[in-house]
Amino acid sequence: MGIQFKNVGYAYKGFKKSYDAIKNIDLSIEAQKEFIAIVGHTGSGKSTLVQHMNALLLPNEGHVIVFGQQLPPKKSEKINYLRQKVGLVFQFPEYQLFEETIIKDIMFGPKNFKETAGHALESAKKAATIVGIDESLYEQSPFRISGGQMRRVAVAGILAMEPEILVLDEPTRGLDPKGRTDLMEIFKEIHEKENKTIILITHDMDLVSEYAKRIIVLSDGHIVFDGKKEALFAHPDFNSYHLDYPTPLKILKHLEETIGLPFEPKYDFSSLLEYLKEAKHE
Amino acid sequence: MIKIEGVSFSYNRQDDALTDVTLEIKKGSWTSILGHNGSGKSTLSKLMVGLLSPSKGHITIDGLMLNENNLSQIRKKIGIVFQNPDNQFVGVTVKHDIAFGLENQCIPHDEIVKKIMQYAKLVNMEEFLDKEPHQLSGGQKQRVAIAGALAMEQDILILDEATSMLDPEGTLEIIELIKHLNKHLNKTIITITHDLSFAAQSDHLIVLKDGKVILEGLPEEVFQEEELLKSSHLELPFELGLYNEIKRQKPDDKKLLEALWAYNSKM
Repeated sequence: MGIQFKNVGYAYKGFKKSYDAIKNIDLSIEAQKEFIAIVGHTGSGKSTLVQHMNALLLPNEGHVIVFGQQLPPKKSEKINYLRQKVGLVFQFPEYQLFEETIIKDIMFGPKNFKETAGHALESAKKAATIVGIDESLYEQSPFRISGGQMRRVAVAGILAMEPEILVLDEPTRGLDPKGRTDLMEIFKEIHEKENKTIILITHDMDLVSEYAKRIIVLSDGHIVFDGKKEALFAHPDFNSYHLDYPTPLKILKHLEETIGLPFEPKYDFSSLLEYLKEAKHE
Repeated sequence: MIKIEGVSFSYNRQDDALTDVTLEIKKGSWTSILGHNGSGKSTLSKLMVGLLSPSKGHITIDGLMLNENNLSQIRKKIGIVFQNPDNQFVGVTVKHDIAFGLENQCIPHDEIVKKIMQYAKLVNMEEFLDKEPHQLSGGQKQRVAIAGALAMEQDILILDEATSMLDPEGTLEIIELIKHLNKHLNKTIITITHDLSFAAQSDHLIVLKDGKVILEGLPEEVFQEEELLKSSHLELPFELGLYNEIKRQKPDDKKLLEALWAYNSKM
């Protein structure tokens, strides 16, 4: 088991009162081979939830167990190493670039953990290759490249730490369509080739539909759905989750209503196209 | 009407960010300027408001030549809202932020208060006047920025990637507001974007690639040029790409094509 939540609650302490961000969370995530999307409204607790996965936040209630380490920890236990095990890419990670050169920036993470410090440069180069940052850029300033490239450098900084699980908070927001597809394909490849578990927070239901296998829906700090993608979109309560249907399903629904084309769920462009080429209708 | 004639611009005197751009933007229209990152679309918007001046060619707005002497008059005609809602929130609270431009014009206090109310209402933020920026969502901050620009009462408003940092809900809020400004208040709207579904809703599209205009026309016309768009790193919205692909591979299925097209226009 990679990550386990047992009746977890977390409240942010305000000036006068505290605000429950997540409540009664029970969740199990395998260390490998999962591709999970976490969806829900702004303020539903998505970011709070994932920050527990590498001990950036410690639960007020219940326990989180990450690779065998229980959180909150007993006083003497060191938990920093969990940040290496579970790599978290924040929203707009390019705002956190700071080094003089691109390669130094990518190396910063691995230099700080004993598992990766010995071969930080090597890991950084490998990570740069994965995200498609060319060797000729290594010595350039990370501030003199395009926004899409900066995003990749920031992602490479996390990959270079060789995490077991990769958590991505809105990784494609603000990128142009090509940049969005390219980045998602990188994550897909990491998932498929290295069997890494990927946890993705996003508002983009088309990305969810195309890439995720399992979906967790948060509403008001609670998990209201946790299961396979196919089950979510067919769920009788779907409308109560206030989520949008992905475009392929919306189109299929429209075609069923207008020309009686039989509805058969498809989750991405190419499978929908294949289906429409063959499908019979009125 | 904005007339851009033979405009070139270079940041470093070597490579042109824009090369020989000639365009017209009609009064009362909603025009989208599309292009990949680095295509020159933001440079063009900065030239139109006089934040940069062209190295060649000239720009006229309602017949008035854009140059240093006319700048204060030009600024009365055209305003701009930028991409990042956090970088352009200058007030301590919503009402101070909307007031910022007005105060700089030395407008009497009573009138400023009146205008703050009027424009906060227009963007649906009248209940948030005393809120501080950290208490607002991205979409709300962006609406405040738009209210601040609208309070200057210019006829033309440029929105430079004004939705690209927002979530889908925030984006919808802004689109609804743009439509209202354009249809009911007759504002000329220019949106700078790389999002084709967003651009599909405007009247007129201009596509830039490497600093040059490569396509121009109605959304329907521009979206036919799939290869050219792809070569400019722009991707057709899912539904339009599907329509084009079916048209290519199953051209005889008129009913399916019709139904798909109806879906597109419903969007």
